[in-house]
Amino acid sequence: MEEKVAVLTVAELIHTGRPLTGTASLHSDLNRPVTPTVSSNHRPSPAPTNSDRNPKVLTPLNHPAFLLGTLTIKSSHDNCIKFKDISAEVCCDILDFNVRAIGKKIYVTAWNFIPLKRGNGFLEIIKWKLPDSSSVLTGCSRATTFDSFPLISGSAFVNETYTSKASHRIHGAVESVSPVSIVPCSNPASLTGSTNIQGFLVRVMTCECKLCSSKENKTTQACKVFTKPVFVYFCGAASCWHPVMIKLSGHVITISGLKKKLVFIAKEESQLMFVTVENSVLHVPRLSEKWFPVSRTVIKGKGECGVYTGVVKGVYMRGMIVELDNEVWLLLNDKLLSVPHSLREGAVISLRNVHFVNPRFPWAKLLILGACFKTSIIVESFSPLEAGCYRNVESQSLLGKFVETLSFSARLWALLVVSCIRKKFCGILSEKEILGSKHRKGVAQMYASSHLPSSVIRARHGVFTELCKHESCGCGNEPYCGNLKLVLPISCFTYHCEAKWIKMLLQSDSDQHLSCENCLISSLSSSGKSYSRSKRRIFPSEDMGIVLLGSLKVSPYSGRLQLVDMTGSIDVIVPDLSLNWSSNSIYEVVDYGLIVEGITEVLDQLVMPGKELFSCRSIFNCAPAGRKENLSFIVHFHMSKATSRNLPFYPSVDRTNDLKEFGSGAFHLIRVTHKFPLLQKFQGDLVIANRSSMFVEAIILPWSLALDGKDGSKHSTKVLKDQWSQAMEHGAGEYYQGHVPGKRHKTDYASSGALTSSSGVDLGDVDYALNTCCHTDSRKEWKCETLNFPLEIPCFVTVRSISNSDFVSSGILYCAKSHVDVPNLTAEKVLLQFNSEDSLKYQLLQIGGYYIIKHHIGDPFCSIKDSDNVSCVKALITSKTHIWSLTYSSDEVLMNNKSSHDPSPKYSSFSSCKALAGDQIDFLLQRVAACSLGCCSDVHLHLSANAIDMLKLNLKKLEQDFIKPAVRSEEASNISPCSWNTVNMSVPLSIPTDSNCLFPEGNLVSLQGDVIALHAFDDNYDDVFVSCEELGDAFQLRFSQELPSSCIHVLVDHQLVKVFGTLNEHVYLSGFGAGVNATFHRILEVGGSNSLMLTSVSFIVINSMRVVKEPDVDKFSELLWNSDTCNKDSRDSISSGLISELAPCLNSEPMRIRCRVVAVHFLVLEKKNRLCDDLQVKTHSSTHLFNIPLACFVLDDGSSSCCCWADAERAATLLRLHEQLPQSAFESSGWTLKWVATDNNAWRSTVYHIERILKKYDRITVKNYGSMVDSSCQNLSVSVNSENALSCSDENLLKFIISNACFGTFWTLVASSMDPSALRYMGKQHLNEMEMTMHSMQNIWAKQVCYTNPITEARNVFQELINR
Amino acid sequence: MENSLQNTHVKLLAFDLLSLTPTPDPTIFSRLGKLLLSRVEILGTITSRDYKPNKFLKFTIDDGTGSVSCLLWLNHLNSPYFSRRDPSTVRLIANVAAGFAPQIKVGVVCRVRGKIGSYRGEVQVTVSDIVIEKDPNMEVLHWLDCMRLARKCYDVESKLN
Repeated sequence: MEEKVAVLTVAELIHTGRPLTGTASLHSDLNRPVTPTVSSNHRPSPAPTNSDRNPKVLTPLNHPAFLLGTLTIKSSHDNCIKFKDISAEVCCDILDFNVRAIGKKIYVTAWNFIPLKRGNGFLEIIKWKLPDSSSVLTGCSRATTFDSFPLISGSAFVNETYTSKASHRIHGAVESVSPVSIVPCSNPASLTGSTNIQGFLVRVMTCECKLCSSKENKTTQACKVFTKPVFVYFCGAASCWHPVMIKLSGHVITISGLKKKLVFIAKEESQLMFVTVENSVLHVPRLSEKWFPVSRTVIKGKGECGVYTGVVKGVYMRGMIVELDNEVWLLLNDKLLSVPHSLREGAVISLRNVHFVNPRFPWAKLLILGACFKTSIIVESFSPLEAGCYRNVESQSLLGKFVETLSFSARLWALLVVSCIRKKFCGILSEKEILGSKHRKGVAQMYASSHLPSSVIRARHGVFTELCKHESCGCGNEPYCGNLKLVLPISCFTYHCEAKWIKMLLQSDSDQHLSCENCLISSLSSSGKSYSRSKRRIFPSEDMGIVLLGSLKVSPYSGRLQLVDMTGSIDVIVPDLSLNWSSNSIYEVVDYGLIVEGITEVLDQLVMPGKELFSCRSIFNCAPAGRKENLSFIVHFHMSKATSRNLPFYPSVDRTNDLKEFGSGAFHLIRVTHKFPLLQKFQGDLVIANRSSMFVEAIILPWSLALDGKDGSKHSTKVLKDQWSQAMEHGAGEYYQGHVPGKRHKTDYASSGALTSSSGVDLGDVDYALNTCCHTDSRKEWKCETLNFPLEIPCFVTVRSISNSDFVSSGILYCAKSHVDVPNLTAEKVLLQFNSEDSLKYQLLQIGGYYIIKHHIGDPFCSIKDSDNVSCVKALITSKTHIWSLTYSSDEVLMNNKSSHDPSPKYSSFSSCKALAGDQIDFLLQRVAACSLGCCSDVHLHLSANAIDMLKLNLKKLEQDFIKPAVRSEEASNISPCSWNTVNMSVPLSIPTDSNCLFPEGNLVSLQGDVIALHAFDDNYDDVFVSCEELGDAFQLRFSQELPSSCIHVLVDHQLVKVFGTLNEHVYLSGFGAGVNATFHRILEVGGSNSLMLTSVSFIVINSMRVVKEPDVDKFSELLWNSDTCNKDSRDSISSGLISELAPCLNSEPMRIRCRVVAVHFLVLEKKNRLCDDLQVKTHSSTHLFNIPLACFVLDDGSSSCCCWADAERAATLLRLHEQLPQSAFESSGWTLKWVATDNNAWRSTVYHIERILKKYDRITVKNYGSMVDSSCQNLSVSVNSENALSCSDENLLKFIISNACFGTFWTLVASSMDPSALRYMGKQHLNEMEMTMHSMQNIWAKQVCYTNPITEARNVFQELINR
Repeated sequence: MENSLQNTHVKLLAFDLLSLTPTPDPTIFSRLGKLLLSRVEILGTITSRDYKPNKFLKFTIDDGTGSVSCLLWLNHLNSPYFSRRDPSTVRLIANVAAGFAPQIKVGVVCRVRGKIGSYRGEVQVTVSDIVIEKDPNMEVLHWLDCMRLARKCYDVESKLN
């Protein structure tokens, strides 16, 4: 073989330009298909980049070859060891490094070559040897056990006899090595006056013994107790030893010929250290000695320093972040850190002095390894992959500097945020805008710095201080960052949600079966199958720990509102979204609810995602995550709680047009009375056009708003005091006059004239409106006896706009119907028609809300008013029609605010105030701002208290006249066994009560309540739906395909109501399901039993959503139980007693007993992996990864003992799994604590250990063959159903856990006697071949287990004793 | 014929426990000559402590009606009594007992379950397990429990015979 081995030159490798691996001893596989040769001139492949996520294995050279060259060290920017041969020089890294090789010719017999973009390339020396070992070993050393190297090459080697007073020697172990840094230094000796000194610090742990500290000592020292830290400053030419010293960290060395100097490490701080001089010599023992610190700190994840060895899984963000193993993240973003080229994906690296941080983020479980100036990275094994080299590019950007000042957890968070924001806005913004530059902050930095508390920002002091005063510089003391919320790209967010949903469903599997026992499911599902086997979960944002950031858009496909970024979109429900929302704003949503819904058929195919739901890798990688199409995600939030973050990069939106549109003129006031669902087109129906339209029923109020036009800019409105106060006085005056009987009222428009003339803006529209509507004012006179209000009400108007330029204006609310007698003021009904392109407007209008629509000449609202004969007219709302939501209030607050300098008691702000002072305007604006937190109207009217009373009175009267509520018939309410009292009825229509009508009869009502459950019906809905047959017949006439298909259980004032109907036609009903609070408008009462029906005009509004918590479910289940099975005893009435009193009869009532566990008879623990099939009602926030199908305990209360059977949570409670294990558990089991990326105290919890053990074994059965009456004489036998044999420590720990269950205090149990047949069944199922003798004790089933409250119990017993 | 509650840890006040009479079977005691008992649960303040490492811990519990002497064995690992049992189980029991020992301090309120025995003519409880009660109400509850059980259960059982 030897003669075949070719000698390669470095130049040849560089010339190939591709990654290669080669060896001098290539024995096999010579006939590989891939046979690149070095000399062949093939196309150079592109250098591996970060984007290459699946790097190939390095291409092997097809013939044996070695390299011959010299290892050199010299000062360079990358601080690498160089390999130089006759042809060229490259950076290199060596395994099995030996200092002796420096400066020597070596044979490189196994190597990897990685071409670099900058520079020639990089050589990884896997195996090497010195050509002639014997000749070099004693090179420059007289002693046989040490090799000595002058630190400054070229200087004469100074032998041991050289001693001077200035010369010092240290012997010790290299503890840490700082990066190379440059110190600007003024040197008077130098000609230039100043020079920069390059150098690095080494912290060496030395021995304090007399022998070691004496100058005359020899290098052959035996001391190994290194406790005293000293610093050696390798400066000037000696700084080229940096890569060698890194390799020597942890090794014992001796350096002689050092000078002791006081070195300034900060402005006013100095440190005594040893400095290398010309004749300093490094001595390295030939048999390398490794040194480990004596006191090994316990790693808790709070920033402690330690050693970590792991495999590089990925390198991200230009080498700033390295993923090791699984979710262990190494942060390397200090620009000074020296990262070896060989830190490539696939390499095994060892980190010394790295900080361990468990960030405790709610959104991810991970471990951070924070590198500081003490950290040294040593590659233990080179990567066999073609992954590229990374070099942390020295970045001078503000972002880089900002990130360097953060604590480690915050640093990772900030890097994630940067990565996420880059992805979210990659198409909209340039890289520079996102990341910033040297002098300008980028968007990512602005976002991150606005969210980080000041506690996470660390002052940086430079290399010297941070190494010398490492303990005090703060990197070993990690502040808590667990409350940092992550902003995710929407595509990642949906993926994350999906994983969370699946995990939650799988976990709640067995709990489903339990809840059946509570009769909840059975009572609900008795009436039909669960709604399309749909699984639905609502996650509150607190559980997610994720912030949403994006802009709002209407999906062109679904017409639904979505939150979008560049990566994706998610449907949103924003109940309080302004009709004039801005699609250009970026909103940050922190407080939201997420609804995830999917079909169980899909669920069955899903596999449990990896252990970690969330992986930072997916963010750095930007791997397009596959999403299941059958899952729907809806985010529900309130605009009032979202923050509009108009990040400065967005071109400022020109909102002036919108405001101009609003600015001045006349507006119609409408009130939305009903919204019709999107109509389904029936076959042969010609009435409804092909183009789908949506209709909203509204009434036009007899009031209009005339607005004083202003330019719309914030604070621009200096309300002209005289005119305004005149107007106010006038209005109020009129009001007073109106109350004086017999006085004649005359409308005077001087006020409005003054108003308009003062505005200085063209108010053509207002004038026109006023003139057209009120042109007869001069001849308008009526008797004031019938007049209860003035014709016009002056008011302030505050307008909330999205661009935060709220403004105040003055306006007049006037009666539009001037030619009709005021007392008979009536409103007109109007049907607002929306085309599909304006569907969002339709979606945003709220039933019961007031709106204003800008008046235009000839708009349908005016024509309605003119034509008295028409009772209902259709008005088409186009995209040009502007609608603003309106609220009104009295300005009492305004008056109170003013009252300090205005003593007049009433109407002071109007009557005697001469000016609306600037502070009042501010105050109004503040009110708007404050208001926007609660309610979200676009326009708010501030009226005087009396005016508002009048207005309310009038509106109430209008509603009474026009919106007649249907009254529930006496019979109907009598029939109903549990009648609900407070249904909010506002029904403008009522179904004709003609008995011959083919349609179901009844009143249309509105009701609001909490939706508890939703079920789908098959064709048999006989037993539940009282009048369903009749209804079905009626429906078949026309709605043949539209049979009521679902049943909604709604809780209205603690009463359960069923609403039947089809939900399909409710197109915009996204997010509807269990857990929402909804209002059902115009649903049909179809008789008794609290049954209502959705009709084709019914409309469902989702008011709020919430997570159904366990206590609620219990409440509901109790409620359902009560409603279904009438007069069952409530839990409170369960009598307490003694075990000896338990009746052995079958149908005995449950009893409450207080007892202690004496022994565990039998126990089965299993890992959760089955899927659930039943309707999900319960949501468990604290579900475990295991289940207890059955357990049997021996209980004793002093009167007798019994066998108590329990499962799931009850068994877990009796086993005390929720409590902490005593320390002795670990001592007795021999279980040792290993570092785990979880909460600090998690390992003390019993649940943690059960979960840990069950990960290895699917099912564990424990049987007690010993005493059933003596806790200390149990003989437990543990068996597993898995291929893995149970380890001794696990078995011991399990036994301890079970014993520990018997050393607890009292439990209060609700239990009942067990049927012997049930007992036999359970025995057959779980106790194979009845191997255990069933004890003659009484058998009971635990229904409820809880801790005992001794004082309550004591009171009860005392009461019992004195009552006898 | 005497009624038996031998498999139950009866809750007795100290004076009641101290008045039990031995039967020919050293593990069985008789209450008022009518109820046979073997196991007991008592609760009270620890008033004395005598610790012999790896042998036993002897302590006294005072519940206000009397003082009962209790014995916690700590010799499981070298006692021939346990030599026939599974070594891992013996180790577990030994560890559990060793874990109890440091909890037993003079002044704490302690709940003890164990077997009734006698030593030099005095009733003594051989401890199975102990629970240190931190809630002072537990003491009151124990008194009331003892009274209720005596009334509803032990006296009735005695009367029946």
